[in-house]
Amino acid sequence: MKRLHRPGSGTILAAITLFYLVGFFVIFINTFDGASGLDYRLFLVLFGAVGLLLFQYGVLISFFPGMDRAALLAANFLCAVGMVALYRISPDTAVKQLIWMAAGMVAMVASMLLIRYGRHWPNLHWLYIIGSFGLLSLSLLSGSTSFGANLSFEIAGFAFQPSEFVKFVLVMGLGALFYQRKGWITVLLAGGYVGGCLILLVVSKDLGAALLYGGTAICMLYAGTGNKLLVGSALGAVGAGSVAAYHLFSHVRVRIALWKNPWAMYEGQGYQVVQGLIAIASGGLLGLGLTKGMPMAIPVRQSDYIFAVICEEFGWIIGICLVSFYLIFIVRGAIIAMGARNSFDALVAIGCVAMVTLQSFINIGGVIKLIPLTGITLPFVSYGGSSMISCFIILGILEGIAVKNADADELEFAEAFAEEENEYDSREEIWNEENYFDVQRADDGQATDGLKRRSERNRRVSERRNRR
Amino acid sequence: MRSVRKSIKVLLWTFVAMFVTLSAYLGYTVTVNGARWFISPHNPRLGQQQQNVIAGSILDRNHVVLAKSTQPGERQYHPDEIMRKATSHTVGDPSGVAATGVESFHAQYLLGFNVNVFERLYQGIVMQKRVGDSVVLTLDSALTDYAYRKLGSNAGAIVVMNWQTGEILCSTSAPAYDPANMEQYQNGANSLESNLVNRVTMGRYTPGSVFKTVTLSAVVKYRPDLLQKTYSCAGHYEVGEGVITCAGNARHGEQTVQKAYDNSCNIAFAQMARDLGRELLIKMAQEYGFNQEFLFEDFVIFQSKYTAGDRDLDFAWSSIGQYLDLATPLEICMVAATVANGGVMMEPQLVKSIVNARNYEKDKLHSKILKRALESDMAQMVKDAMISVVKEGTGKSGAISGLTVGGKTGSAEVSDDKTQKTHAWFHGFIDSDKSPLAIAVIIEQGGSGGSVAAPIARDVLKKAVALGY
Repeated sequence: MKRLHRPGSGTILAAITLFYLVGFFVIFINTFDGASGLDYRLFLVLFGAVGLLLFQYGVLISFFPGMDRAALLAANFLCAVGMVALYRISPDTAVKQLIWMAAGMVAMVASMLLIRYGRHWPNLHWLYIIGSFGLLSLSLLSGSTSFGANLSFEIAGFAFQPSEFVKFVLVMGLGALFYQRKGWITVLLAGGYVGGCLILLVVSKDLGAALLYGGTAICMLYAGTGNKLLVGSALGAVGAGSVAAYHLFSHVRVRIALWKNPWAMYEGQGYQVVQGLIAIASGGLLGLGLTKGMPMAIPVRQSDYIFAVICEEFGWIIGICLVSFYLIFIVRGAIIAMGARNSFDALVAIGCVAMVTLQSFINIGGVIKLIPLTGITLPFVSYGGSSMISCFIILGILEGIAVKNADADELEFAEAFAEEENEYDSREEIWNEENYFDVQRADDGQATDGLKRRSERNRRVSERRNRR
Repeated sequence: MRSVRKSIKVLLWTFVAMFVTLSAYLGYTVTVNGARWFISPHNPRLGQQQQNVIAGSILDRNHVVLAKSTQPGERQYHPDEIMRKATSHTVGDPSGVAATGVESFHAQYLLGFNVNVFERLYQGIVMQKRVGDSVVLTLDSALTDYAYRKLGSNAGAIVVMNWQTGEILCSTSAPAYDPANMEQYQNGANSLESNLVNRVTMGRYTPGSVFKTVTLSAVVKYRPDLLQKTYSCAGHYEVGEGVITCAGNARHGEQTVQKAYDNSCNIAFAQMARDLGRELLIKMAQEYGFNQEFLFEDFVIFQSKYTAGDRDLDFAWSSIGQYLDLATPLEICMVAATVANGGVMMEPQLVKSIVNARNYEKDKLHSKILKRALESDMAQMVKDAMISVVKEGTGKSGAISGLTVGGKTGSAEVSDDKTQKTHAWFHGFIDSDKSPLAIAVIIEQGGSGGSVAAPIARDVLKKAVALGY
């Protein structure tokens, strides 16, 4: 693993800060009227968000130089776009989102530390399995219904959505199972685990999550076993399950019909799909301009349909930018996974990446009618406490593995250094003895020799890395 | 560990491919369908924008003003009532009740949604109010007015296009509405609702014998050997459980393919269709655009349908444009235009250019080939057959002295028991590079195509030539 050159992460940081400033400035000049005076919430959200960003970048990175800056910044850019869009829809929501972002950051740091310093994660598979089932049945048993699905329930006034937290538990669980490599037992356990989760999700009508978990599990199965036959049969099982679900559940049929022609069902459930498409079409390439659109016409604009809101006012070109930033996140995540020192870390990292990838794909694809719509949030962008915190935990897990990788790099580097140093020291002693009397000459020689020695060592270290 | 890394690489590429697809699809779908989504009556942005922007004008190809605004929220139409009605379906109405007119379909230009950043800044700084772009149509208002008057009190439609470029020069539909006095149509008197339908693009009629041009093309394209064959017409022909007859129970006797087409002999065509088979006829109809969803850039057109039917009798009737066949007048016009243009179907164009507030012309018309339906030698054969119809067949009254005109008549049965008069159809073209015009005329329950529709087509084409097209 080569130490990667990190070009321009400072530039991205500046760009995100600038995005916040310009975004809030545009909202300010377009909404300001003398009568109601200054809105303190604007400054609260602006300075809060920029503060969090700079804190992450400045403080965290100086404590953990091994953190992956690009992934962190990509996530922050996504948060920034979401924050500006949310503030434009409703300042109060943005204030709440700021709180969730701060909470998410705390969760990120905590999970990063736990991953970095915890040693028993690969052995806790029963904990993950029982935890996932527990969380999912919780939402099934006492969940409140929203948009036809049992998703969340309230604790102390906060809507808590357990399926969001099952995301990373599932990734850890599958990582642990595949890490232990017990042949068929692993496959059966993993199959039962994922199958059980999916059944619970389908029964609670959370189709988006079912699709997401199933997809992620297949990605991890592929990474963990590399067995194409297994992956093929898993895909087949998912396909058969989808067909069965289509015939068994009327809400699945409705989703498919909506995907085929939402316009025909406008009076019924086609409403949100149609309004989403109209919003994107109204924005065009460059958008109507911040505050110039009509996001209030779009249903579920704060969570599932925030992509349509963004496309309407910023243009679909920014929609593609958003997709590109997900790509940056994905590529960095995959690099972290490839740099991992053991397969548990690698599997967990790629699982996290798969989770974010599929979630954003399912959300955006559903909004633009590439695939049927399933209620699912856009990671890092949508409003939602559970969603925000679980996304940051996923980021934290990735960063924890990145830090672990960097520390291992450091250690290997030091070892290699020490080895070379020993080798060299013995030669140096001989050399010094020979030239004991001519101090001046020895100094000159040492200086040039020092340079040579360093470059030689670097070459060997990098060779060793490439071999591995 | 090594295998895990390899799998991760594969997954990474899969993810990248997924996201590239996502971006590409987003760009594609907005570019292709965006205008249609945008003009939806469910879009609340349009009504809001009307109050904030001085909407652009709608002009005909000679810059005759058909609709204009002097301040936000207000709209004026052409001062002459007949002209307003003649162009009503093409232009549309201020509140988008007849939702497929230019007023709604090109609202993104008229209401200034399609203005770029610099233009927007310029308007914000220099002008007091934002101004939308004007839309210049390919339509000639004088010709359209003339055609509308020709329809008289009949229900029907006339469309004229340039078969070389696809420009629509005349498109009119009766009964029409008056965009300046919409109240009477909005208050839902049922008899007035059909006034709002643009029969040229949304009227789906039984094509009757004009469909024989499609059947003939299928013979020319797939079974040229049948051209040597003669069919016999004894006034009635038994197929399956029923009988095919010719119009007026005529007996045509021995008929070559050309003769059968000249005389519009149903019986010969039913036998020809039997020789062709369902598949080839369906294929040809689709080549001409039947059963196809046309997503034209400039306007919305309903789908024309060809259904072969399972029973032999149904198939026989379908081959002569009856049974469940449905076609819009524009589609029928496009078939004639394709034949005239050597088998190449041009995309119909309605917008000549967009002119912005500073009189800068952008998005100028560029002709687009939709598809090639026939090879040029085959098209030449069909063209000769159509010219022969006007010279010595049922379409004699479509002839114009000094010009070579080709065409085909149709008298479509709309009732099983012949209690209602037939729809009178004519589609045709002028075979001249100087006046490359194609036309389709339908008069609802007007009677025979040869005696009712063909003379109207002749007069409209004459007028068009006189106007210099």
